[in-house]
Amino acid sequence: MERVAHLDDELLSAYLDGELSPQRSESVEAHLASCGGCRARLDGLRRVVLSLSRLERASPPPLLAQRVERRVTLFDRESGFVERLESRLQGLRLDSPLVVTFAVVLALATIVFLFSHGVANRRGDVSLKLATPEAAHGLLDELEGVEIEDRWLQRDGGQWVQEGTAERAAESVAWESERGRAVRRDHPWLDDLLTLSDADAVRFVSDGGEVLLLTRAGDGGPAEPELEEP
Amino acid sequence: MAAATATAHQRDLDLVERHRYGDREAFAEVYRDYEQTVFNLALRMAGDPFDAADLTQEVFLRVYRHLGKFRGRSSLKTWIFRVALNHCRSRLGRRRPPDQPLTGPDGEEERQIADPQRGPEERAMAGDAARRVERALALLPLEFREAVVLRDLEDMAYDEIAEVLGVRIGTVRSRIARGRQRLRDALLEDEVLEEEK
Repeated sequence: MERVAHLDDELLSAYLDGELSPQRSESVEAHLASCGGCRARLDGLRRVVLSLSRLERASPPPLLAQRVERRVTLFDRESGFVERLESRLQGLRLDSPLVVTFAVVLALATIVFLFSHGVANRRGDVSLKLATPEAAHGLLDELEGVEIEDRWLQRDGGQWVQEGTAERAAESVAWESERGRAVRRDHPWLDDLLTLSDADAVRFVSDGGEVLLLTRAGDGGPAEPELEEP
Repeated sequence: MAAATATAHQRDLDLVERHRYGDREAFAEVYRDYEQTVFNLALRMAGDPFDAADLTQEVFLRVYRHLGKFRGRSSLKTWIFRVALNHCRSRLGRRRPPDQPLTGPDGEEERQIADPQRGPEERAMAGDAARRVERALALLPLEFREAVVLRDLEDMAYDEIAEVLGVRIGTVRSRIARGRQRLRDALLEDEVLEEEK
C-alpha cells in the first residue's frame, strides 16, 4: 500500500468528495489514522462543506417567469424569419437533402428579395427618416416591442447601429439631429429594449446622418440630456 | 442508475426536438426545471437578487434562442449551466468583488454554525453565521467560487464541473480545494468556525 507523507488540502478535499481511486483513498485513510494534524485539517474542510450545504436556496422573484415569457414572445414576434428559421433548424443534420434543397431555395429567394427592394443592407444604412422630433417620437412609438439582437437591430429592412455595453435599466431617450434635440423619459418599452440589447447606449443612425440615441442610467453612460426643442 | 441517466438524456433530446418544431411548452418545461437553479447560480455569481433576476432572464432568452443547437453530447443540465456561467462571467467579469468585512450589519461578531441541538438564540446566531458564510463565498475569486458553488451547492461531480467550466478535472480539483481552503481561513478568522484542535 502506498504510504502518504503529509496530505495537502487538494488531496483531502478530493477525498472528502469521494473523487479518489479506492487505492488512493485507502492510503489517505491509513495516513489519517495516525496523523492528528491531517485529521484536523480534513475536519475543517468538512465543516466548510457542511456550512455551505446549509445555505438556503433562494426563490426567484414571483414575476420572473412572466418576464421571461414576455421576452421569448418578443423574440418570436420581432425576430426575422430567417433567424427564427435558423433557430429552429439548428441541430438538424446539414447533409440532409431536404435541408440542402431548402437552403438553396432560401438563398435564391433572399437574393431576389434584396434586388427587388433595392435594399443594400450596408452597415449604418437605415430606411427610416428622422427629420423632426415628432418623427423621432413617432419612431419611439413604433419601436415598442422591438428586440435588438447581438450587434444589429433589423426592422423593416433597415439596420440600426448599436454601441456600448450595459448595466441596468434605461432612463431616457434622446433624439438628436442638426435641427435640435429632444428627450423623453420613462418609456415603458425602454427597459425591454436595452435589457435585450445588452447595451448602455443604442444609437440609431439614419442615412441622413441623424441620430436617435437611447441611453441607460448609471456609470459610464452619456450625461442625461435636457429637453431642448428645436 | 445508468437507466435513469439514459431516460433523462432521452427526455432532454425530446424537449429539444419539440423546441425545434416550435413547441413552446417544451421551453416552458425547461424553464420550470431550471429556473431556481439558474437563479441561485446567478445569485451566487452576482451577489445581488436584482442582478440575479436580470441575469436569469437573459440566460433563459439565450437558452431559448440556442436550444436548437443542443446536440446531446452532454446533459441538458450541463449545457444550461455552461450557458449561464458564460453569461454571468461576461457580465460580471470586470466587476470587483464586494469589499465587505465578514461581520454583521451592526459590526457585532457572532460565532459557530455546527451544533444541531440548538435553542432559538443559537439558531438566530446560526442565521447570522449563514450570512457570513454567504459573504465569505461572495468574496472568493470568481474561478474558485464557480467551482465551489457547482460542487457544494449544486452537488455536481468533478467530471460534470469540468465539462461546465471547460477545464480539466485536475483544475477542478485544485479550484475546489483552494476555494474551500480560503473559505476555511476566512471563516476561522471571522470565528464562524471554531479553531481546529
